[in-house]
Amino acid sequence: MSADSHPASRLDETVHQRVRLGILGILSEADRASFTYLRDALGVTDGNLSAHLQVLADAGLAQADKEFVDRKPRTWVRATRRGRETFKSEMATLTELVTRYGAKKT
Amino acid sequence: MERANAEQLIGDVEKQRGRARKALSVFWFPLVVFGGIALFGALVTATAAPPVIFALWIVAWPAGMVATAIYYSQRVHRIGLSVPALPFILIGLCLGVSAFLLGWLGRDTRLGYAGPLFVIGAGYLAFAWLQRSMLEGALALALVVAAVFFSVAQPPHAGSLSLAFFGLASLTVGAWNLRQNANAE
Repeated sequence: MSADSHPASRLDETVHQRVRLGILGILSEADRASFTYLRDALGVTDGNLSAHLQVLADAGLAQADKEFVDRKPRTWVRATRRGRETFKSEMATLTELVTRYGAKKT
Repeated sequence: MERANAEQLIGDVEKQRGRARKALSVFWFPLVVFGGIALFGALVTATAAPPVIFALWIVAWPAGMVATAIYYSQRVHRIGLSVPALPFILIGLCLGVSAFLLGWLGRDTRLGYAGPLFVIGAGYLAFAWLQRSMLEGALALALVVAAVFFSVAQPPHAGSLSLAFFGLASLTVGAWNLRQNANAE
């Protein structure tokens, strides 16, 4: 891929989605986040969040671990190293896209 | 992809990141605990013999660290977000041990009161960097400046005064941070 290719061609299909990018955004600040935190912060249903997490897990960008607190199961989600790198790259591409469109308009 | 869509996506993600950062930047509990211990320590330093002061710190600092660890461990489960604990534990241990050794070995000299204050200020600066908190950074700088001041001015009762300053500054900033995060707590 050439260095001056259009930024839109560098957008990652897997993370270029509001909920999935939001998950990786939260996990760029925290080491891990609970399923409940992600669901409430992103305003999605349990099923919806599970589906997005599965997409991220299948791509090797996030992983979920279950633990028991007071005999209640709790799911924690972490971003993998690849997930963190992909998030940074996606945000940089989006910013470049905004800058390029902005420069063309002015 | 249109510029407006990209901007909105970036804005949404930054909002989520900001909320997570704010939820994680909570440090009032250790400031209130160690600020309280320092104020009590100032009183003890002014009135009691060195072995009593030694006994106070050998019990109070580890107790404060255990209380802080319990608080953060419970908070992680309450809010559902966590950061790696190891850097905080290591800084807390280094800070406590070096402040204690400087205070004990340098007793009756300016190293004994300015040294611990300086070390605590440097440790708080590291905490501020980890938590990306300007407020905690300001407290750390105030402690470092106060350490230099006490070292140069050497006022009477400097040991008690430096502890009282640390205690009051920590309690003030702790109360401020608690107020900032009242909703999250």
